[in-house]
Amino acid sequence: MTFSKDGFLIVRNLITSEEIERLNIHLSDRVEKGVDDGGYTVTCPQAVGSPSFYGGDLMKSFQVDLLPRIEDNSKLDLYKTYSFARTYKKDDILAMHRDRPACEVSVTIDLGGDKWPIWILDRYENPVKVDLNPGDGLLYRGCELSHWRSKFKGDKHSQVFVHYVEKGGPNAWAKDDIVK
Amino acid sequence: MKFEIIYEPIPVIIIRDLFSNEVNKKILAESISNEKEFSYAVTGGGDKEKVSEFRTNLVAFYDNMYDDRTKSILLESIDGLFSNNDEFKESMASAPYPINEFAHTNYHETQVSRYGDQGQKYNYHIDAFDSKTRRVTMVYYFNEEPKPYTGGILSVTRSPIYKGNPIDKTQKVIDIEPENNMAIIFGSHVPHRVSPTTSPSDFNKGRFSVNCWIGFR
Repeated sequence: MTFSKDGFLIVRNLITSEEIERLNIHLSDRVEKGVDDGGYTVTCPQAVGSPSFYGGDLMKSFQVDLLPRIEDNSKLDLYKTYSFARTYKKDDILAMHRDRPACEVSVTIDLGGDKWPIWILDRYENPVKVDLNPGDGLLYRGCELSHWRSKFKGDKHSQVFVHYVEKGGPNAWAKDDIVK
Repeated sequence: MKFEIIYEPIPVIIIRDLFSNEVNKKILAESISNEKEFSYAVTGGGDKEKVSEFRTNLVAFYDNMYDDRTKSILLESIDGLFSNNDEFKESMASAPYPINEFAHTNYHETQVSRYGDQGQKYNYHIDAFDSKTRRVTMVYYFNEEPKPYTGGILSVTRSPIYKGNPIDKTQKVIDIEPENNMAIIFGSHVPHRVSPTTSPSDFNKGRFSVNCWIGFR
């Protein structure tokens, strides 16, 4: 399986246990203590009532740190666009969707909690179930491949999403997500 | 959409290519991902509900699963078909009774079924428990291609039924072999059955269908 051929790739242990811990503390601080990190809280129709955060200094820094790993796995030269962090709650459903142009190369990273597989419709229109462990990442072409999660049976599940576009590609204008 | 109408002995409408290929594939994918929501069907209703040899397939109640119906590609597609698709609505409104009652309905239930394994079936039955909420039945079929199952024929009859069997053996039975992306529409009081269905045990290899019961509330 390769990113260029399949449009998605599972990368085990994409981030370290230290990074997981740092991101979880960060997410917890924002959810429970209302820590202002420069980003903003969003009410996302895909997960109403689940705390969701766009950007922020720590996430921006993390996204830059992660860039070489994503370029290495995707074999692409990339610009970062934006990041997102969310803690899902019981009964959440992520509807089947494709993402906006700033999500040309998307990465969803498991930060732990109760298991919750993500599904992706591959280039042959077959549904593929992806089970991630904490620290694992799924790289996927978010604008091309439909992806979703069925009803969450657990209590809590945290994820971060980081998005990139290809340098010189049709969505390069979305660099840093300034123009939406 | 490609329409085929059967007038006698019972009005039945068959629609092939009900949805686009893309939507059809997504409906199947969504149902496969919902495997944990499926359970063995019961019959009887209310306190008399039971699992029995009468009906042996799996079902999932999408109406209960999705508080926000737009989160389901299946529910969104069905709702859109019934409320916004002029070709479908006009065809139903001008169809023979009782299918033409569709034009006056304002309510529908949506249940997904999976038949397969070692001969899952549903003996002759009717869908209408009362005269209001279930007037017209639409069954929409979706499956992997090539078709991974055998059997699963839908049969309808004019004969009254008793304990899962037609009383009047002289009445003609209409057998319809389901196809992927096909819908079959008939009155909810029409006796019908699903013949034993055999498929690999893999969940995705089954015969999937959406049962829509359309009526008034």
